[in-house]
Amino acid sequence: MPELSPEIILRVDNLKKYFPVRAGFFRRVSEYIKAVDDVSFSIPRGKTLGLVGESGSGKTTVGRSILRAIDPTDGRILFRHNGNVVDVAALDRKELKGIRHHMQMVFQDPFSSLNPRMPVLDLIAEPLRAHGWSFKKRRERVHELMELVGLDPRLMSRYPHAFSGGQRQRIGIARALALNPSLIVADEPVSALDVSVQAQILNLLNRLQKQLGLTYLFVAHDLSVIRYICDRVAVMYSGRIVEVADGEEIFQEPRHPYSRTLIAAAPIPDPKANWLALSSDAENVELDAQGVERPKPANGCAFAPRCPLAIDRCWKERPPLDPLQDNPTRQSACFRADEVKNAE
Amino acid sequence: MKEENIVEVEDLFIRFYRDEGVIKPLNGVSLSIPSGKSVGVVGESGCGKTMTAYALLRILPRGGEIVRGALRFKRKNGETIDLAQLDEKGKTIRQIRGGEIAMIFQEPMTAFSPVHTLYNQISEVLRIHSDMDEEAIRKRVVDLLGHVGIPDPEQRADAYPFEFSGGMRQRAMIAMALASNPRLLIADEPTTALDVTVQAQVLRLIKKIQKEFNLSLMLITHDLGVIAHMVDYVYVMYMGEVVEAAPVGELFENPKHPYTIDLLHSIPKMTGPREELAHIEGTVPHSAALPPGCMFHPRCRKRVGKTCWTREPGMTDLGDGHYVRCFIHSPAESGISRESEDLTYA
Repeated sequence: MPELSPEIILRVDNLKKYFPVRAGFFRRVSEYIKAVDDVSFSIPRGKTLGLVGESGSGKTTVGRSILRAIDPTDGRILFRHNGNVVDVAALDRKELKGIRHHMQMVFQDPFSSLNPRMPVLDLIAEPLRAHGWSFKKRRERVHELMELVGLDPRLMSRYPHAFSGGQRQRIGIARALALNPSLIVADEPVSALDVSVQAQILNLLNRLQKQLGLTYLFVAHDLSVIRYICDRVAVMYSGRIVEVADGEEIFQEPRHPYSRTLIAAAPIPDPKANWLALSSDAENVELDAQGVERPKPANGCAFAPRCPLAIDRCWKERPPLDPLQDNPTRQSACFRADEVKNAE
Repeated sequence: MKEENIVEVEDLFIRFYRDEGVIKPLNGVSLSIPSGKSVGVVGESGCGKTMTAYALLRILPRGGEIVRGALRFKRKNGETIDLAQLDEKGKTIRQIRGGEIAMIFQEPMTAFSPVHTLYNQISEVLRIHSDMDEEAIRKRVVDLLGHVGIPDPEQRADAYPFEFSGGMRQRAMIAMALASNPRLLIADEPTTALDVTVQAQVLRLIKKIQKEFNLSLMLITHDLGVIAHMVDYVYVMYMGEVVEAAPVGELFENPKHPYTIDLLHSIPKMTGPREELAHIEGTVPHSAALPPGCMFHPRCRKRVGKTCWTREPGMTDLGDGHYVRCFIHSPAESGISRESEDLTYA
């Protein structure tokens, strides 16, 4: 049995997912897209880890690999359930079924993730049926779940189209909770929702975590949402984690140039804040527009083409994700992590 | 029409007569855009912000009718016309649409044709709205692409939209909007589909070109963070009505409508203490079944009683350009009984 310290419920070691690119006459594999490249992290029981990054950073692929919705190329996914520790990455189909009800997923788009031809009762009870629950027991459990997530149980025979976006996301959450999982992977669960409804769902997730002792892996691109809900934050860029820190620290003092750019670019709902000096004509180093289009070095830091702090070394050598010298609870993959806070 | 305004929308009602009932997306919208200024329209999905823009360009989805109201627009030649009175397919609106009023859409991938090069699509604007020769058109398109920050514009002009990243595509869309020297630019969620760092670049570009070309800007978005930094004046919409209007600083500092207040409190913050987020109970009702009285009363924490669900509040002038539609700020007698306003069978 693989070792795992007792408070940790999930530990991911050196996870990799490479997607082959087929091209040419024989559809031969010409290269690989490294969607996730050597990602490691752990989540203690009852806590929330936020995975934040822009589109294409690999955050969704990490979430889906953990649930084995896709098969990782390499790495270990150690998961604790009922006192046992298993490597999810090494399980076969049959063994996976035994583990799946301990880990569930909440999807981004409540409009496409619910089958429009199934009433809410069947939607929420689908995982229960797969695990052989009787109709009567399913009905009771659905009733209980709907109350838990703030839906009127009298609506259980209605179809998804009768519900608003926020209510549909509640259905998605109820369904994920049906089998009493200990880990929830939430992939952008509020990004399709209006801001007033988004707040409802975030508060619901917080309440459920306290009430049921759930552990969350929360994947999102919106930093303010991440800040609201997460205990610890991992920032991803180009398939790798570039910075990890406890919730508040990263916002107060980012120690990777990419985290700093990301935080600076998030619009603040206050007209008095001189956000990015938007009105001035001066060029802004954080927003080097062409940098995004430049090719990334094969062996160096993927952020180097956009980085205002990049030095020669960054183009030749990949900076490892190391603990900071002055604060070992934080990690940053930058040769100049000590200078990030002061740089302008 | 006031001297300083380029657009005045007055008491605009839009109806869709469908088999399942009458959809009522706009219920008396009034707003104005001063020449050379930027105005924001903010609200949740379904509040009618995009529908207002579509009405201005007369590109309402099939079945949509303007049943009441005026859309006054000041043309380049100084003449003021009511866009609502024009023939949707007529010559005048075709000169204005894409010519004097340009629009940037949310999704640059679907707004461009995938089978034509950028040059093809942008030059078309100039062929329709100018009398330049082919050589001048080529030069202008390349200039525009360079101007919006597309590297290597001479070569990239002949590329197809799919060869561009999302941010570059949105830049190209801005170049296309600028091609005809419009006076008014309508930007409908121009950065919603983009990553935050790219969003910031595109917003900077929009601000820059607005100043350079002395454009009037109507920015439609759900994102209060974006509104805060992009516009001078804000209209907050809810269920096809403007519920509050104020200069941007005043709106964020001193919001008056319960909806605006709750909306501002439901955004998670990037700084300060992590307090429990306020949220607005329930959801926006379907626009086929408008609530009686104040549209917001079913979700409102501040409703004062019977007045709120029997009478419709009018706009109250709070001074200094701040207006609010709420009985907390106006006597109940000022309300309008909905009966007289019912346009169901209009």
